[in-house]
Amino acid sequence: MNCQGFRQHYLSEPRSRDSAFLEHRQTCRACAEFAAQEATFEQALAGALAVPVPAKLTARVILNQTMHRTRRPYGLSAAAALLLILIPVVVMLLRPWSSSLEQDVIAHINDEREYLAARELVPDNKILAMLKTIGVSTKPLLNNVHYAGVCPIRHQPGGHLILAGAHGPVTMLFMPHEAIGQPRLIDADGFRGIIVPHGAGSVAIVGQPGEALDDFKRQLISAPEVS
Amino acid sequence: MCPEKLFFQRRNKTLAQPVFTDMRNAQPEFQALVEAHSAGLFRFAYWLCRDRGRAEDLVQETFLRAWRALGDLREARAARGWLTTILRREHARLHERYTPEIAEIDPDDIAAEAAAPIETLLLRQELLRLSEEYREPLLMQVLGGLSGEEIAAAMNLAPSTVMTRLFRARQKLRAALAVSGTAKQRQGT
Repeated sequence: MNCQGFRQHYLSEPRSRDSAFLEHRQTCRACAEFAAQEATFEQALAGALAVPVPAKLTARVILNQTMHRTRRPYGLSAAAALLLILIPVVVMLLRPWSSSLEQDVIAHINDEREYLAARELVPDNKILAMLKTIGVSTKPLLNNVHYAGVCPIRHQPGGHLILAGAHGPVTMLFMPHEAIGQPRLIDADGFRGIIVPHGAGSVAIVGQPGEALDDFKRQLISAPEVS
Repeated sequence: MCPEKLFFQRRNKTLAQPVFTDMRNAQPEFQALVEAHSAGLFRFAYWLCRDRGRAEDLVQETFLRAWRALGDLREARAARGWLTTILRREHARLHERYTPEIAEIDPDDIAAEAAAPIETLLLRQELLRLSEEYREPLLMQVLGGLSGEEIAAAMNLAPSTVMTRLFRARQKLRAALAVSGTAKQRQGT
């Protein structure tokens, strides 16, 4: 690049990252001086364009985005509500029998599959708080918990825990409103599990085939108790 | 189609994977995007519409659209150009429906203008006199920090055309400053 080319380029794009442009600036003293003189104009221009930005603009933008992320148009909400009402009715008409507890446990795990990938360890106090919410008092003996949340299970509040197992994630569903007389085995959709009576309700422990579920059952026996 | 336009179209098609691949965890990255670019976008919007309220609306709408289309962002360093393009489109869309009201004077504008040096006022005045084809690339460059090539891609123009417009825009602004300087000198003598 020669001096004329450099100056012409500078007057169009003073902050160019073009290598030939930058090299000429480094090596040509006259053009470096030219650039330094012209920099005054660039500063004035930048100053003229820099109108004050409204206070807390960033916070308002994020708030607006958060609201729109969760809000849905009324029409869509109404349609969704109608579907929620109609689907169970249609299902009930087509299938007069109700789904079993085992099926609902697997369906719940499949519905919330994303939590199986949770990796962060959940602190004991959060687990305690979650279990307390659904009416379970606990001694913190559950190890390697990666998710703890309250979920509706069969229209009742339940506790959803993900623990680390030897063969992958292990799900524990606390169902304080689902009383069962005998333990029940689960073998569906690539999951193996057991539902055991627990206090006035029950707990489902579900993992991958080959998982030593008894180890988790032992943790459970010495841990949460229905209040 | 000119080879330069073809080059940019092809280059854009071969860009890397989306920046935001996991949308469940995209919120912190999106917030960082807002923090990094909201001020620059507001100033760009202001110089497009000359109204602080509308400029903020444009910024809000731009980020909402950006959030919904976050998966389209292919490179983190392309974010500025991508957001600027969204804002320009949104401005064009709203501009068609907008009818300016009489005597829309923002008190903040008056206060800011009163405090500004004469050179700044003069540059602002001349900037508004520039036709849009010169003003817009200059705003994208100075406020958005976009390169000539990025501006060309955003405006669907050849890079050489953009460089010419940037050169002429500066030339016109410099000329206005020079005239003002001469006038001041005359007043002083």
